[in-house]
This record gives sequence, structure tokens and C-alpha cells, in this order.
Amino acid sequence: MSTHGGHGAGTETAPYEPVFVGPARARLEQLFLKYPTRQSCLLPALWMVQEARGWISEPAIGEVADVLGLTPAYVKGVVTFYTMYHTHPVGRHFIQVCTTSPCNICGAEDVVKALLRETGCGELGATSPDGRFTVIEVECLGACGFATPILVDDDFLENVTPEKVPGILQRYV
Amino acid sequence: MGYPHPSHPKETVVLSKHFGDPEARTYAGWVKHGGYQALRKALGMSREAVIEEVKNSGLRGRGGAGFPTGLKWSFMPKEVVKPHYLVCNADESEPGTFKDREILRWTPHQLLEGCAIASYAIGAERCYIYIRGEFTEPWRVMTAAVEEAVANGALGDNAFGSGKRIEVVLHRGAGAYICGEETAMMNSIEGKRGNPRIKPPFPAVAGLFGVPTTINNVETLAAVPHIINRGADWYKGLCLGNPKSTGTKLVSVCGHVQRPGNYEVTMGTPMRDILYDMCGGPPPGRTFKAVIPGGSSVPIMTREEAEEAIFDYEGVVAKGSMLGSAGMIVMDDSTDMVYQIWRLARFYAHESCAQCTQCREGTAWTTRILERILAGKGKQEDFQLLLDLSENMTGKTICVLSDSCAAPVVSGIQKFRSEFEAYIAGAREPVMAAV
Repeated sequence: MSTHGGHGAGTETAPYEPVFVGPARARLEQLFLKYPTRQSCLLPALWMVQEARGWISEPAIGEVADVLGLTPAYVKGVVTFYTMYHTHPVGRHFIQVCTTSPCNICGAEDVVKALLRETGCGELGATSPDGRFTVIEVECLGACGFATPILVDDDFLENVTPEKVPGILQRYV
Repeated sequence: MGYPHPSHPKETVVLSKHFGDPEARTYAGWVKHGGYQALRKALGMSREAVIEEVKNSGLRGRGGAGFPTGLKWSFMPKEVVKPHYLVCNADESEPGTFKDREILRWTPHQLLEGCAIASYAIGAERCYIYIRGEFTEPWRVMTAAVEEAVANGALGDNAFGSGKRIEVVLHRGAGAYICGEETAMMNSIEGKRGNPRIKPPFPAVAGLFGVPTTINNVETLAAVPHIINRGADWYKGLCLGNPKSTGTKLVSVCGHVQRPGNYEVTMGTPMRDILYDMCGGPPPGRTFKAVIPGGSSVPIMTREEAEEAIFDYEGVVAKGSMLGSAGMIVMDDSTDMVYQIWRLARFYAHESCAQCTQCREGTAWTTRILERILAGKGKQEDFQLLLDLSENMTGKTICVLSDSCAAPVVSGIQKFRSEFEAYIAGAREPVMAAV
């Protein structure tokens, strides 16, 4: 169907499977009714891709462009503007730690160190050797009174300290 | 009830009355607490009368700019020729600010009711609520609330049988501070990069999808049902002296205080009461050094300035800063001001959309100069260089992101110069490796 699909999602042996078929396509069609232009559905469509695939690959960008009537270059420009879209695969559990000033003065950098050590990621943005975790630093998560907040996948955790890190990680296998 | 602490006797609890109460999240629970009476009442009034009531209340925008809300609504065309839109700004990302998150996750129907009343007043049939991508819990709560409000007839093709169509659509952001700027937000909803637009045209003339649009902050809209229910005079009466600042304000306090959290105060409350009585003062054995009173984009206040300030729009300006979003970042005497100002500059450098040269280059250059100082390689000339750069970053760009980066740098050099001097003179150990 797509002129951009079928190039393989990272490996030669895995042909690209479109996201927007069946129920996902129906969900997208429902979204079209909520906006006067299809282009407006770009952010929601990209979220749907990331939920389904974990990240947004080049073929996925092509598919999104196709279904919304945009060009792949345009879609890529939008994808790369927003920091929450992954343009490469990440660990099974994606951890975002706030280190902006309000959390910084409450010890957020020590939380980052504990996360990098306990996950085995070693450095920010890297995935642990077991593929379980990726840890990144992010700017203000909007929960400054609950320093330090972290996001593990879609779980928003508050008042995280280095001591709590091992117990938190146990919940994510 | 307060959250995460019980309400303090010096608070005036209106918007935050049901924070922490899970029952208030449901439609039935909200109706039990008197919810949706204001929407029914507003739908029985003329659009003009609703706008007039909000105008008379003195309500001003709670997102940071403090623009009179009723006046903003009155800029919308009276005749609805093209579609009109309401956009609710729930992209709360200003460092130090976490008040809208509590409204979204504890009292979703308070916000939906405010959105519905505002939509009716400005002649909009659809309201987009732009929720930042990281707010996963508020997103779930709001999604359920919209479904319930539609199922109960408060929203939909015929809101409460009024014949008016009021639809609310939730739109999820994807990680970009700049989308909290109203024109960037409109671009983001349209499926574009979040670059701010040049004004004019203003949104009331040509906003979202090129048609008349009003953008209001979450807290602003959440105040509207209370004004409709209890009247403009009641709201105006919530004021401790300065008639230009009325009503209550949620204050988010974070950093070095004993009880961080959200507090709701009458406009005009002494800032000292917030810092010491409500928040319990600094941690044991510490004293306050600095307060950034309105989110990170406003000038830093010294302890003395903060302790003397009156907490309202004009009162904070009188002490050299701005009320902004009322996200207070409190720093005690253990804080390295140079390091924290660098961290703020890094925030703005990361969040610059990069379309204006002064901002793209200025925020990054400011960050590098501060890194050089923190690495012990600073020079006396760096003071003037930072101030010159800040001058070139203020009032010269499409939006105010670069002005916001300059604010803590300029006020930091003015008020905490000796800390910069200590790094430059080698009297303080470098905390960064030289680049």
C-alpha cells in the first residue's frame, strides 16, 4: 500500500508491517472527525505509532505521511521537534528524570546517578545490556513540589530518592 | 482539602477545595459538590452577560501574563461567521509550576465546566485542551471526565438541552516547553512544529486554523464556574487591598521549604506568610537565600525582597520581579547560584525552538559562558558579555523565551555577583571540567 513502507523496520528480514490497519485505522478515522484538517492528527498518529512499535522508524514516518497526505520530510521535521518521540529503539522501560533547577536543588542529579548505576545503563541515553532500561534526563516534568519526579513508561512517580531506586526498578522486568 | 498537605488557616480555598478527594473526580461526585450548576446558569444567560460577569470579576490570566480574561473574551467577534475555537492551555511546563496538574487530576470537571462556559461565551462549539505529553495521569483522568460529561449531557451536540453544541477534544503534546506559548500551541494542534507565530494577527482575529480563537490557562478557566455561581462582586471582594489583583491564586512552592506544595491564597497575601507560615520556612538550620516567584522566567528575588513582597501582580513587580505563573522556586543558603542559573540557561537553550537568531544563539552562548565560569576559566569580561548578550535577547524575538533566559542571568549577576566573582578569582573550586 505505502510507497514508503516495506523497507524493513531495522533489519532486512523484517518487512514493515503497517500500523494503521484494522482497529488502529478505525481509531485514526475517529480522530479525523475531531479536527478540520488531517494534518492536525499528526501528533496523535505519531503517538499511536510509538504505542504500537515503541519508536518511530523511517518506514513508519512514511506510513504516517501517506495516511495523512503529508510528505515524509515534513513528518520527520515534526517528529524531531518533539523530544518525546523516539527516533531509535529504546529499552523495554523508558525512564525520564527531571533535573531542572527546582529538582536539581533537591538532589535530582543523585537520582540520575543511582538510576544509571542500578539499571546498568552507565550513561544517559544508552540502553542497558539486557535491553531492559533506557534512562534520560528531561527538563521540568511539572511536579516540582514532589522532587524528584520520574516517568517510567507511563507511570509518573513522585518524591524519588536514590534510596528508593532499587525498589522501583524491581517493579519493571 | 489541601494537597499534599491539609489546607492552612491562612489559605482561601476555592479552586483547591477538593484536591486529594477521589470522589470529586467523577461526574456524580462533582455534581454532589455543586458542580455543573454554573454551566446550567450560564447557558440561561446571554453570551454578553457571561463575558460581562467575568470582566467585572477582575479575573486575570493565571498562566503568567495576567491579561484580563473578560476583556480577552470580548475581543472575539460578536457574530459567529467562521467557526470559533477555545484552547485550554494545559501544557504546564514552566519550571517551578505544578498547579494546573492538580486541577487536571483532582477536579477535571471543574475545568470542563469552565471550558464549557467559556466556549459558550465566545461562541465556540469546540474546545481543545492541550495537555503536555508527560502528564500521563492527568490525561487518563481528563479522558474519563470528558466521556462522563458527554454521557451526562453536559457536553455534546445539545449541552444540557440548551441547543448549544459544546465539544471538548483532548490533544496530547509531545515534549516541548515552547508549546505553552499560545501561538506555538496553535501550530502544534495544527500538526506543525511548535514555532511561535508573529503577532499580529492576534488569536481573536486569526488563531487556530486561521479563525477566531481564545486561549486560556487551566487555572483561569477553573475559576470561571465559581464566578458565575457566586457573582463578580464576591470574586472581586477576594482582594486584600489592590483592586487590580482580585480573586484567589494557586501558588506552587518548591525547593528548600519544609512543606512544598500548592497553596491557594487571596491576592494581596504577604509573601512572608506563604514562605514561613504555610510552607514552614527553610529546612532546619538553614536560611533562605533567593526566591524565583513566578516560574523560572522571572527575575530572581533576594530573601529580603521576597519577605517584603505582597503577593499579587503589582506587589511582586514592586519588588523587582513578576507574579508570572506563581510557581515559587525557593533556594536556601546551601544553593550555588551560579550553578543553578547555568541550569536554567541550559533549560532555555534546550527548549528554544531556534527560529530567532537572538534566542537560538543567545541561549546556547549564555550556557557556554556560564559553563566556562563554573570550570574556573571565567574572565572579568564575562560579566559584560553576559549582560550584553542578555540585552540582545530581550524584546527582540517573536516570543519571550529568550527574554526568560536573560531574566535569571541579569538578576543573578546584579544580586549574587560575589558568587560569580568567587569562581572567576579561583576562590571557589571549579565544579565542571573545562570544555
